[in-house]
Amino acid sequence: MGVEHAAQVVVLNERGLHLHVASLLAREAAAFECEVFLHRGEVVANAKSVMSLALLAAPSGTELDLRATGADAEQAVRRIRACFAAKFDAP
Amino acid sequence: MPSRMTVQKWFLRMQYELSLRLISGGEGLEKELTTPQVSRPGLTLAGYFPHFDARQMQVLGQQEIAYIADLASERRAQIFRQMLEADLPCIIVTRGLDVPAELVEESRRAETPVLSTRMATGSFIARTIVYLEEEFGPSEVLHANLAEVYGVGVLIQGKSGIGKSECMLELVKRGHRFVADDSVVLKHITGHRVIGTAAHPLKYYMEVRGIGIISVVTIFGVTAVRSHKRVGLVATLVGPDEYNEEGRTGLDQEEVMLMGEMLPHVRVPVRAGRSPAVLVEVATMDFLARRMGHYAAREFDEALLAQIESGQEPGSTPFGDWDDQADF
Repeated sequence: MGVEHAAQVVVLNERGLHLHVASLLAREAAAFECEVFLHRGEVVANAKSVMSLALLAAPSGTELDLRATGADAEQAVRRIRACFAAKFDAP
Repeated sequence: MPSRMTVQKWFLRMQYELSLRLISGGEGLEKELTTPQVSRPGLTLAGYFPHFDARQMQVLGQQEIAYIADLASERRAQIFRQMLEADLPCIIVTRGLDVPAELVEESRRAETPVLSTRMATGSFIARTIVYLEEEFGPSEVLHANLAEVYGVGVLIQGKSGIGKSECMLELVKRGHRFVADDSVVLKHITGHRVIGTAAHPLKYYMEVRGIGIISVVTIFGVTAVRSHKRVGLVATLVGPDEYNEEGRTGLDQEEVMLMGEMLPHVRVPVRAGRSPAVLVEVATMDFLARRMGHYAAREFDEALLAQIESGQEPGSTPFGDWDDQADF
């Protein structure tokens, strides 16, 4: 197990983290070996699972804690942060 | 088209459905039908022969028979003789109307079949054209399997060795029906339909790796097979290397072009130890649900958006709205 890498991300998509955005995020996260989780308060979602991400029900502007653990955790955090910033190229 | 389409083939196949009766000229039943079009020869009966297409079957309905009845017998005989000299495939009299004696006589001489149907002209022509277009429609052979799953024709395709036959076998084992294995003949017919059947005349056999040739009908019985089926859904089995769409939500319906028709398409990931047949089954069930207007992915997304917009903090008490406490 590698060290944990963490960052704060903000949902910028206008309609929040809806199903389409969740699927794009899950696809990005699944490309990495490490485990990737998103925390919204008490709620923790596995970023590789669409159904899990739906649990967050995060509207636009929500701050989420991104935490990744594993060999490529650093790259995963960097990549996923960039995706959030770019709104996943989705509405 | 695999074989010649003759009046006899059409007659034998459709005689009950179209309530057909052979009146005369049975010697000509081997005459060939070369076009799916049929003709109502009103102008021809009036003596206008230019543009008369003798390749078409000629249908005499109420109007034509009433018109003919007003002619003198010699004129009737002359018109029928002239028509029949054009070597047409057959003549049909609809509504169970009396066949003019002159027509019977001339058809015997010309050895051209005259048939009678009790059906009304319009519905007779409509049904006949559909049948003939099925026979004459363009066809192509595809390296794929075809099964009937919950009443839906599912075309299963994928690379050689991906497990199409094993998938088919498991579907049949689960009570679905076998149409074709390995090679499917697809036919495009009226009404935007694509029909598939086994390419090989020896139907209902399939090759299973490690076992050899098996007879599906002998092993699984007559209810496990179908001779042909309309394709409603296309399922492509894909290996892990081709499947890069993790996180597919089903929000949008993928489609694939098959003989000029757009058909719903699903990609079924195949991995060791997993059963693609179950995925094909569920994809078919979801297809049926969508056809009835239940779009699970969209419903889910709408509910999720409503939750997002409500601003409610999620996941706090998942058991909160249970009113039945009996399980605790």
